[in-house]
Amino acid sequence: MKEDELLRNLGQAAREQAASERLFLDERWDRLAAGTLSVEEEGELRRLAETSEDARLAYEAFRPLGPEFQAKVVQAIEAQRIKDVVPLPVPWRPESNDPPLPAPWQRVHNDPPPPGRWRRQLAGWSAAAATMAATLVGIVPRVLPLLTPYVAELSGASITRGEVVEARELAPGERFQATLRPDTAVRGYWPLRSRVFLQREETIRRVDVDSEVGPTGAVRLTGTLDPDLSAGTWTLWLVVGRWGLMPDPAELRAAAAAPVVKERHWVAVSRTLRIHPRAP
Amino acid sequence: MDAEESVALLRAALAGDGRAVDRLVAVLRPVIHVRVARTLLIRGWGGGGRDVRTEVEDLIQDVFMRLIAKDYRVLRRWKAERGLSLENFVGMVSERFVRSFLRSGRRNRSKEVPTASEDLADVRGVEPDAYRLAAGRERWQLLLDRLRRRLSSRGWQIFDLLFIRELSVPEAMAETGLSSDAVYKWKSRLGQLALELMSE
Repeated sequence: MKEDELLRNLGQAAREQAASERLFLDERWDRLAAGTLSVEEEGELRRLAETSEDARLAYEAFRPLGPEFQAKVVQAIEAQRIKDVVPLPVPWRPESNDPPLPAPWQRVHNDPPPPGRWRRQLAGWSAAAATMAATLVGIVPRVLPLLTPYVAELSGASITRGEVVEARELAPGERFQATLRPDTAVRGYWPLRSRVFLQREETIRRVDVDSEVGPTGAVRLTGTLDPDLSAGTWTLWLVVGRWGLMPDPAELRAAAAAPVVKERHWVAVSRTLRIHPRAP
Repeated sequence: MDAEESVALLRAALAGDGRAVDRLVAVLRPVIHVRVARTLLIRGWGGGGRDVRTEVEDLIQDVFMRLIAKDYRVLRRWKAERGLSLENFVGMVSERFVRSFLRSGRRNRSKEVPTASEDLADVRGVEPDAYRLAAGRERWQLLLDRLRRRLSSRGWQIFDLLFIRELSVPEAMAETGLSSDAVYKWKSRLGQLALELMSE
């Protein structure tokens, strides 16, 4: 291309740019975005959008965002806040005591109520109240919203310099920590519970853990592997869900090490673990 | 919103008040929307096969994430006493983010400047669809931006007179007070620089 031709094309680009800028600087686009145009003005902009590609782009770009977008942004912010605020597991030393929990993390007891507890409770009430309560216990789980997805981080003896390194190998009797973070903050009054299981083929066994639930539904789990655990490859299941609506271990066994199993009231995240023999 | 209201709202949002976060998003969203859309369009966004609406919405969300990342680090930098309203501060952050996004070429596949053997001929010779037209134009505008950055104010003035306003050499001489030799020398320099930038 000759220099003159190149410069003329650049001149043309500059003129087009200036014309576009005049179009895009029209303050009516601001009011379109804000949703404050009159009906006549919006009609003018629609007609303008039909006259050129630039105007069409401007109309599309400045068209108002709806309440769904607002909700989406708020949710994304809350999810990011959880990632920023939920602390990473601290390096564990056998001789240390657990640090005091920062408020408002709360320790929870993961065992379900004794099997007959509800029935005994209801028996003490009047017949009408008992009927209503029994109905609610059946109905409420159906109206609770879908539980948000969770992501998990697992750490064990491979923590270095305070950074979390995903643990893939643990030894029997070794302590571990896991954090389950929800994609969006879990709201509502139905309490959360957690379970941890180890599965190999048809064998699935529960692991005792201490759990702490944060204000947004993040769960921090601390546990110790069974010292008699045999070496080999296991699937570790980290489960968080609504109290009283947790899965049966058979449901996890049937999932056959899928990375995530998500149901209405619980989420299970799996990790493959190699259990290596303890050093003599 | 006045400065006092902005400070109070921001303080509540930083403390994790969900309603304050919701209100903050509602207040800042229109500002970010307008600045993102305008900067994107004025800087000659080429599309890269993406819908402009999707691009705008993604960028708005990206700006919000930038503002609140690492415990609201960027938003915490706003100080009412510095004279800029919260909305204008956020608007400035939005514009910078979009300019950086366009320069980086992320999701912007048409950032390359055309060479003499490439798309210039395609763009001129073939009836283009809207995407190709936009992408070709964006490439010219990128080259124009580079030229603008490299030229002195005198050089840009000569370019403006001869090639944007399309004045003749005698008219350019009259506007600038330069001799015809000087104007022709500038014209030659402009041509060489443009070729050099195009081949970079």
